[in-house]
Amino acid sequence: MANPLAADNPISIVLAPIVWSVYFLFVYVLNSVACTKGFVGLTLFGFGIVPATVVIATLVTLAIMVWLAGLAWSRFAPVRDTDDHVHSADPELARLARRRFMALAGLLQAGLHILATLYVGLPALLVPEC
Amino acid sequence: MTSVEEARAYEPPPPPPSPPKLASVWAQPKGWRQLTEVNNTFIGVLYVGTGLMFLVLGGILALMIRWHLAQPGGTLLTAEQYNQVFTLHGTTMMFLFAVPIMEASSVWLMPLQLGARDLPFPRVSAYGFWCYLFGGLMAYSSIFFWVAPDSGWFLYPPLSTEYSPGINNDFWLLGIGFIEISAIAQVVEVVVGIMKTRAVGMSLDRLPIYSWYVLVTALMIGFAFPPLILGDILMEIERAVDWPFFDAARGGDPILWQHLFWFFGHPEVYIIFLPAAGLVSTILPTFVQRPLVGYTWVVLAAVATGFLSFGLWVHHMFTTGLPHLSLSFFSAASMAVAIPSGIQVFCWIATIWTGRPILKVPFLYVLGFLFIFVAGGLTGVMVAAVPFDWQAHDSYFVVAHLHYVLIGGMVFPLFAALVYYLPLASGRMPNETLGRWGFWLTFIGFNVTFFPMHILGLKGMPRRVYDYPAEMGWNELNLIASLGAAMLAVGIVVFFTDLCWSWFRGPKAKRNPWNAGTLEWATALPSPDTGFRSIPEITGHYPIWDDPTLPEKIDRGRFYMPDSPHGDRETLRTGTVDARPEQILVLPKPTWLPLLAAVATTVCFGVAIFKLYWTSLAAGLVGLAFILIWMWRSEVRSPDEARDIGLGVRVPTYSVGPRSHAWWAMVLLVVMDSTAYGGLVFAYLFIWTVSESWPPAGIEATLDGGLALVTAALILASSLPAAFLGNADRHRRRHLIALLLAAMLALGIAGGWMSLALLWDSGLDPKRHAYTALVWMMVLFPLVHLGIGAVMAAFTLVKAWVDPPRYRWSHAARNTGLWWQWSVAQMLFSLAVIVFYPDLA
Repeated sequence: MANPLAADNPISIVLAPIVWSVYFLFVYVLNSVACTKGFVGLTLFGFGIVPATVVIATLVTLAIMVWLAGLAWSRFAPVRDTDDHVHSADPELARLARRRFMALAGLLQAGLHILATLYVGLPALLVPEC
Repeated sequence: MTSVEEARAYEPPPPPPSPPKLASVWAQPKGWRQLTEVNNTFIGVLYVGTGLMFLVLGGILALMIRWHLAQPGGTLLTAEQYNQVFTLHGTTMMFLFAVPIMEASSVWLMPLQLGARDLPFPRVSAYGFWCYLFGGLMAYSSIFFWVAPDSGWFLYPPLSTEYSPGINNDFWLLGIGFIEISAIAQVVEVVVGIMKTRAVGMSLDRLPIYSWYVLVTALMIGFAFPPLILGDILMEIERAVDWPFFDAARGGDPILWQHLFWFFGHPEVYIIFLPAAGLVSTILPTFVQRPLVGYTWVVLAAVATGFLSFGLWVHHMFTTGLPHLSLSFFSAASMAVAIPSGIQVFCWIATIWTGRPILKVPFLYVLGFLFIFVAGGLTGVMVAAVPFDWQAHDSYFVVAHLHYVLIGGMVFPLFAALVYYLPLASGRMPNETLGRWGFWLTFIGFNVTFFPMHILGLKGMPRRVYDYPAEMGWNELNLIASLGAAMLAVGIVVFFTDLCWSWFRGPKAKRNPWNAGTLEWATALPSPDTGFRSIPEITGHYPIWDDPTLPEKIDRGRFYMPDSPHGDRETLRTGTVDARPEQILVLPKPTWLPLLAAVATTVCFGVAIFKLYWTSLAAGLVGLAFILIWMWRSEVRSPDEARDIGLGVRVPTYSVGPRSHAWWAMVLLVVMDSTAYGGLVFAYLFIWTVSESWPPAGIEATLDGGLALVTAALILASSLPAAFLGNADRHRRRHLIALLLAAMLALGIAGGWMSLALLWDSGLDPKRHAYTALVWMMVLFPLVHLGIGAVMAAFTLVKAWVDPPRYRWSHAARNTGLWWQWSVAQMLFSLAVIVFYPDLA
């Protein structure tokens, strides 16, 4: 099984959206089950179980996203000026441009999904569960 | 001079004739035998043409709606007829026009843009196309007898079940369900094509932007359609044999259907929009004569939209009483998806801003798209806000919004592409004057039709009503909308007149007439059946702008595979990331099999509408027989194990496992199928959430844990021989393969039989309650998969045993193993859920 975090694995581009999808599904299912099965009144650390869990899940997701962004940045920084090599006939230079593309795509995905995670998580502090 | 100007100034000499063998092997059969052609250039044009036919047919229904609503008290249609007309209008436009024409465009265009002679599974494309044509005609023809679907294009129960006992909605469920399956077939074709059949050097970062969009779209179809297909199956079972999945009186829930439908239905919007945006991103640079600004950003936006759009489905269900916080999650995701849309729009604007716009007709349509789509996107953000949506829901505001997004976001780019690619398909140029008339009539007519609907919605006019009282104050706006619809229709007639006239009578196009930079324009015009004379090696996103002499070099056979020494249809398989040459793919020649299989499939689904189940089964078996013959003739043995493809490169003619296109196709199929199975598990858990107890009160019958354990053990044991299939195949031990398959079959059949015994023994009556029906489905679903696996196993067993001299069987063996293991995993999971979950819950 190829390492999904490897710099040349196309999956690395979509890791952040995959993490976001799992997070999104989790918070949605959590709230739905809490409301329909009546354990919405339970508390965790003195807070309602749903908002508390959503906040924890949001923080964990953000931490993963930031880590993914950091990983992408560490790959992007050394090759950030190699964009023009995408036109190069030299395979070595073309490889640098490819590495830049993959790293930048991973970085942008992480950035966008940090925003999307914040968007989804924040209502838990403002909106009643059911 | 910039490279773009050099490309404009360069006129390649006329192409020399292709080598006789290459030309003859790709030549289309003549007369009736032309229907046997499977090449993308033939199937793609028919496919696009069929999509346009359904646009016209759906448009006629739209005109009937607007005629009827032009004034209060319209008499053109009765209420029942109106229901059928608006339902079939939505169904036609979404399922028979928008999605298929985008798949059609990719089938036709992508091989040219990728530098391939064809996509890797031409028979699948052909089968998908014929199924679409026949299934679409079958579904649409219902209106001629006034038995068309009549419960809205989303077919909400109980309106579509309890209150619609006729065959109307069966046309939807079976006709459209059948087309969804053909859409899945195209997903396999397109995804594997993009991943595996690219020009040498077309690494992921050089992938044409349109291919990125199509790749994302195809994967979205792969994840979004299977849950809907599952929903179709559940609803058809409820209608046909009364298993109450959606019947609230027996523990079911109509909201379950809405979840399954909108899990498809919202991504569907992006499934339609993204390839259109891909066309815009391809066409726009040509008409401003500069590369697209922000390639990586646009790729990011397309990929992100693909994911985020799956978090939007509940925004169609804001008024169904779901928990507040859940609505907020979906509202947030609906707003988040505006970010990648905005990124794309800004990249397009930046490209125009920094280029030198040439206001030809395709570019006008692109500008029209930008204007209308941005307006539709803004109202989309409005309805993403829950409080506003509660007010606007089910009103004409939503009708206006969705038409701004869909017509603006998809039809305008499509029209741009039709004009833009006319020279490539026909070798002739469009008429600029007619084109401009067509554009302005369409653009103004569209806005006059749909803008007033925003106001109508805000003034309270509900959707899907066949009449309205005169005193409501809606009369003038409805009349204006209807006049606009007439204008829009005239615009579309002018557009098609230009298209048809120019196809046959337009002035001959010179090579690369728009001075585009993408690879498809490197071919002679019209694009020959061979595609490229030789498969090029490219650098950069715009190969022709990078090297204006590229078309000439391709013509002169300077690159890879300039001939077909064995008289086979072939293309090159390249590496997924770096696009280095890896293998020669031998492609099928013209054959009747896809057409015959599609006819049998159509009969199978068509007669089921009339409950002629035995005839349906017989037709299904005939279709299966055609497909098995087709599979027998797959995996052609090449006379040589490896071959020189030119420029000193030698590649094998066969490969198995993860390097092969067949392995990718099967893995993709399993992944897509997993979302259908996921939908079933979701349905089970959803019904649990809406039940007071689990099993629901009054259901005493239980599943026998011991029997379930024996079943699981047998099924699990059958996966062991399946796991060794690949290994045995590596050593070409065909007798061992046959033995393994026989063991797998025997254990599987025993396990399958036991799973049925488990259900019979439980005393659970599937008609009694949604819970019991779902328990049955949880077993039957994997059982059907095992049944399909058993057919595959029996087929492979025979093929390996006979070992035909012209064909191999390694892909069949390995893919059977993969499918079987996936089916076993499903069955084990199902057994665990139905036996243990009631105790856990």
